[in-house]
Amino acid sequence: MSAVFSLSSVGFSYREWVALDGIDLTVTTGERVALLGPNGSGKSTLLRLLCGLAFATTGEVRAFGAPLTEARLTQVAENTAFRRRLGLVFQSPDVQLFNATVLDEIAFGPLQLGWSRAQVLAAVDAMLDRFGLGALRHRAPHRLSGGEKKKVALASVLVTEPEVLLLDEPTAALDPRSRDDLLDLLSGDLVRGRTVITATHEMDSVAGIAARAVVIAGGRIAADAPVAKVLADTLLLRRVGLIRGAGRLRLEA
Amino acid sequence: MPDGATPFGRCGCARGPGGGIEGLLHGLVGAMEHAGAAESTAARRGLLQALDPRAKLIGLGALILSVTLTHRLAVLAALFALAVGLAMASRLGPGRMARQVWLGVALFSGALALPALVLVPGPAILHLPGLGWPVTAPGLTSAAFLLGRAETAASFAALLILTTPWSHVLKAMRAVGVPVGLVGLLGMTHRYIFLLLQTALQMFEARRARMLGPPGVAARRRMLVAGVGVLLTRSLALAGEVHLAMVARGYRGDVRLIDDFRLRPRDGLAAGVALLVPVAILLGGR
Repeated sequence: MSAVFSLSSVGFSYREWVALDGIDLTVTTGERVALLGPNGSGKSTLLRLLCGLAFATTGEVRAFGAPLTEARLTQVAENTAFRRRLGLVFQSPDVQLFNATVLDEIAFGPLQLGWSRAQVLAAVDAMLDRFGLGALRHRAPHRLSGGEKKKVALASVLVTEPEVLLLDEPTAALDPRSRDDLLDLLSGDLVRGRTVITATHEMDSVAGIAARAVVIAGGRIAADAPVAKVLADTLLLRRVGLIRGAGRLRLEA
Repeated sequence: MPDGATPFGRCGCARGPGGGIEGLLHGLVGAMEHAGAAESTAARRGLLQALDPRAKLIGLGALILSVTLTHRLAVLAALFALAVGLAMASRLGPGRMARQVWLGVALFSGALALPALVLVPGPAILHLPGLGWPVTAPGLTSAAFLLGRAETAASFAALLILTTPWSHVLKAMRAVGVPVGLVGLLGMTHRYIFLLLQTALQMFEARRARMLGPPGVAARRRMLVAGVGVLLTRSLALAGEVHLAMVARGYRGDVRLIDDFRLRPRDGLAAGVALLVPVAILLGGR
């Protein structure tokens, strides 16, 4: 298996505040990794580094075998090739969904990547069908329910068929039914064969969406092991603030 | 959430004794509700709804141009009658047009037109009761032109907005050559002003929920200043996040939109007929 991402001694700071420090991590093709950590632990920052939206202040991030630098992504061809291979679903759909209709939203990514009109429309139709969003085609995304917004956000990223899918708190602020619907999607055919990295602090959904768990606390990796092993280590989870004193976890297959 | 509804309710929020700031915000959210209602009228069956947005944009633009070109009150009256006719054929009743367009425009442009009645020199046709000021014939004509032009142009503009989904208006603007930066700005403004208004309203409601009594003037002023500051910070953060979300999907400074319009003969005919109006006005000596 080849490495999709390879991080060595990576650090990132927002002015004086150190968000990430000394991160060493390798993610190989087809892996399903959960980034676990409490709020403010650095999960979202790490996803942004992997997506080329922010750049390491120390150390090196390699993506698809080459260093991921600002200079690399300023080249149009490199940027297009990189964005075609990877998609990020933001935590807040209100940030991600900025177009006037669901159709425009899903078409946005392919259009920016230079797809033809016919290709875009075919891909959008396929996504609308797959997510059961056909009836919402001409609706304004900001008028949809939370669950529908999340589906549109996911469809708008998956439409370009990225090899790597980065998910930032995909089930945050969803009602139980919407959350279960989304988890079904994230454990089904839609993500099969892709490398999926999910940042979350919702422990009861981790087992269903990842095989490997990387625990981040205070900007550092506190553990990197199979999900079952990490979830069984209640001492660790308590220490990093993912569960409370006598917390028990409900594990989903 | 159904079209036209917000998290605050269908028509503008739980009102409370919150003072001027919240009143203003409630009003702004109410105005945004009108935008939501416009989306539902655009989805109805009707004459203008059935036309291609590009044809509508060009045609109604030509009619607005005609309004500014004509120097004859009779032509202006005919154009206003055309606007009313198009509204009726598009299932927009006079009541709705009056509420959403005519009353507001009459109040605003009427305030500007009123002084002209007495300030423009010319033969007096009557004197204002009580004040004795003379209303002149040229003054009356000027006021009628000002009011007529404002009402008629606003009616044509409203017909475009009320019979076309906002996203289609933006795409039609792009299709007729309006710069992508301006179209993108309009689209984003429409999208995010709603979100920011909701945030502002929630901020003020959260603050009020933790207060023991109505705030004094000074406290209210401090709340307003602090609220504006927080909202500005949040809007900047939101703008940064949205930009990153766009970059993550391949945006490099040029927004590309999908064009799913189909121009039919009737669309071309409608736009062509509308384009003839300003030409006829110019050829007919305005």
